[in-house]
Amino acid sequence: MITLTIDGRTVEAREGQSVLHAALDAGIYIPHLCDHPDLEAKGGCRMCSVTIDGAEKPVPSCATEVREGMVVDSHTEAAEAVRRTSMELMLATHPSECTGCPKYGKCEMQSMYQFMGVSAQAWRHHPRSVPTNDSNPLITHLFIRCIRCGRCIRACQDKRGVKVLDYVHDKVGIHAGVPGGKSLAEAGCRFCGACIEVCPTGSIVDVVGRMERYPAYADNVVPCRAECPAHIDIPAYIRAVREGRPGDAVGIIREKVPFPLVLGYICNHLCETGCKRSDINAPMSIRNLKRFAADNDTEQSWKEKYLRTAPPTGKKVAVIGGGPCGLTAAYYLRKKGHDVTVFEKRPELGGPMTSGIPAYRLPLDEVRKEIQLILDTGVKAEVNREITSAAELKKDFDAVLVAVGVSKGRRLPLPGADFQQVYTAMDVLADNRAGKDMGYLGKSVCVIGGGSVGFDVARSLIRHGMTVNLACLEQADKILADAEDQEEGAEEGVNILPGRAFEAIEGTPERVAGLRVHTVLSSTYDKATGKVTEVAEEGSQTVIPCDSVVFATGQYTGLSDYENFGIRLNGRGYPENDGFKTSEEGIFAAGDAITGISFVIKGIAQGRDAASEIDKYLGGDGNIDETLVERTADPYIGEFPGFAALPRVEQEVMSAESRKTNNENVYRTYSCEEASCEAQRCLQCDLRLQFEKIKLWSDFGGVEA
Amino acid sequence: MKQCPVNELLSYVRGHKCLDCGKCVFGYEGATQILLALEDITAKRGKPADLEQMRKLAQYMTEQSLCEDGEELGKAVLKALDASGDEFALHIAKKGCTAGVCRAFVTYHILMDKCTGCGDCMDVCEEDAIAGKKRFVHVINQSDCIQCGKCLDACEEEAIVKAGADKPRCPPRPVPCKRK
Repeated sequence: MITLTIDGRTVEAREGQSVLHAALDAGIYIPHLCDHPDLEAKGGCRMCSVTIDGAEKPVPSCATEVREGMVVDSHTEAAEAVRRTSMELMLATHPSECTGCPKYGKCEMQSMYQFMGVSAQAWRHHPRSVPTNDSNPLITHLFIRCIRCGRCIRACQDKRGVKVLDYVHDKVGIHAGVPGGKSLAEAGCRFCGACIEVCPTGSIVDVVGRMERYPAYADNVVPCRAECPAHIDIPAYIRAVREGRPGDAVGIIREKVPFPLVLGYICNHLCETGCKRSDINAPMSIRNLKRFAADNDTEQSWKEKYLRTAPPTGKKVAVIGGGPCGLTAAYYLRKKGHDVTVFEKRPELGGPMTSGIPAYRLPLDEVRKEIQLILDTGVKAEVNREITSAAELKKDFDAVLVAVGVSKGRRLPLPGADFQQVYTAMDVLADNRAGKDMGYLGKSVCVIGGGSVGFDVARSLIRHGMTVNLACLEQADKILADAEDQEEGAEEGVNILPGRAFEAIEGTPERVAGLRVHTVLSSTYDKATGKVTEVAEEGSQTVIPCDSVVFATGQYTGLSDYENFGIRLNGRGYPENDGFKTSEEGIFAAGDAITGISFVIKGIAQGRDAASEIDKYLGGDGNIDETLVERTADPYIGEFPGFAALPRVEQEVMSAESRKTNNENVYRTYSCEEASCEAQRCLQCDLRLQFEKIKLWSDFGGVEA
Repeated sequence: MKQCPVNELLSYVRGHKCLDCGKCVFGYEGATQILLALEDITAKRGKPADLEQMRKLAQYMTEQSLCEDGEELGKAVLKALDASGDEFALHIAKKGCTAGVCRAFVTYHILMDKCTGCGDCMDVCEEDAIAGKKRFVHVINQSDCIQCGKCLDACEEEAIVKAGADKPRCPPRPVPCKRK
């Protein structure tokens, strides 16, 4: 340690530290502009001028190393004069209006000149009018505001090694920029955003609107993580995949969700809608990288920590429903040391993962492996146990979680809807998953409903050699299922009939003859009343002949079917709840059972949040966060010509012909090469958060100009 | 041809490395302000405070630039101010450019004893700034003259001259020529 005096105070500093940072660390504010704690000091702006040991000539404190016994004064007349003159000179060529600047109120230069109380009046005003460049994705250049501090250039050149930004000389003068008039993509920019992060003025900024999507700054910087309902640390696990550490990737995923394999197959990947790379060419294929990691995780290095549980708390928790939400909650509650029992009415745990989603989308073995890991923590499970009263169960437990999902299929009120050969998707998918003979459906089936469940039914039945018509009210461009499902379903032979309204099921109660429909040109759904208004095409009435009809038109909890489940239900049969708490003390509800039908990741996120709530209720701290894998992230990402153009790598898909005849997963997981190709497309937005936040004078207590 | 130290310094600053660099405030913004000041001074737009401000800025440039280029530029400014302070002051006071180099200060005059009243200069003057008639000494109306110099080239008698601070005596309006 080195001891020196700064502005009359004795200060301890590290060997090799700059005088500026010794002062800032000690809470002494010295203005500074071109210096950044994460970048090499240059000393170009002289804002941090100080007088050392009474010398006549002030020196920049950022570029001066501390020395034992040094006496530093930042307030001498000479130092203040240099500082003021420097600021005046910068202001003289800077646009004089701050109010129109995107950095208004957050600008280091604005904060500083207001603190110093200087203006450029004495000098000749000479703004260098560089036109704004908003033609690049993600990053907007307003170099009219550039003060040539060189921070962005040092960040791009030295910190990142991308070497795109440099000093550019054009007819109005010098500013930071891309030499040769190239676009960022042409120059090899990796869009990491380091330049934005370090710019002290409003010269390099995120494109308009980018930073206003979420309340938290970090969420705007890393939107994939923000979009994921469970907030998985996506950039970190993509990095692990790229660096050939699939096990670490899985560990990172498991910090937030106990089903990496399942999600790798079937997640609806909201993260990808957040991915900033969408603005450049196409989003990262995040889900497929997750599957690659899970498929290639041979060492399971996270396992020991993953299975470790806190000492027993002596509290007993019952979870009703062994689906994604219930199992997730059970896992995290068990981790917190509670004695957890899951009650499942079906013969197997897993909910839709084992009894709904067909094998061609999600192999059963994979699901079972993940469920087993949850049981390995000591979670108890009772299958074939249907709970008809949560209140009754509560008598034996300290807390109960109702996570029953929406397992009952809904039928439209059509004439004939109660015929023998009319089924709900839930029943058909469960039988299909259980490997039952599906012959009872006959040779030709009509599926009503164009959501992902409808397509699951239709595509499953195609695999049983049936003729399948899938009809839905939505017009072709409004079909609810995702595009892949529609495209692949059609390839496999599903006859998709969009824009149809359903009139009746024809035939006799014992034998369905067909489904009577007519074509609608448009339809609107009124959310408030739940009524659908349609414009029918005249004379379009027709009967689609079939042996059976399957309704994939929504699901409900089924809780109102019980005589008295013991908690208050709302008019639609969902538990009344407030932050997972139901009407009854100690009984909680989460997942689809309160949100209505949703995706697996949503259920998992609900399970996590509910577990945290229940832990708090049981006297715990509610903290279920855990680090299974220590993070390392090299900020030097290096040059990569053509980075922006790297195409999204798609998984190889089995041919439609072979898909039709077997139940295997439709996609082949990435090869190592494909995975690292895809992973290297990541912009690594999270690296930007490594930069230290610059403290303004107002962050230092009691600073006076 | 005589040299004007103000104009010479302007040319020197214009071509200086500091304006091509931008890596430090005192080098780049300092050079820019010196350049702007000199451009104004040579264009008859100097301000009384310029001299002192340039001197102070140049001093900072010698001490606070990031490399010796800025230091060199600061020193060159100080040297010029020391050596030719009076000439700078003359420019700033808008009295003139002794060497007749700075165009804003230059005036054109027709010498009474050389003019033959031929009318050639009047013919080329696009501003109609020259008054006169045959065998009368022509006279340049200074408020209309734009110092384009075409008359100077057109005059075969070498009767037209440029003037800096010292102006030749000329008649206020055309008078009969002495020379035939």
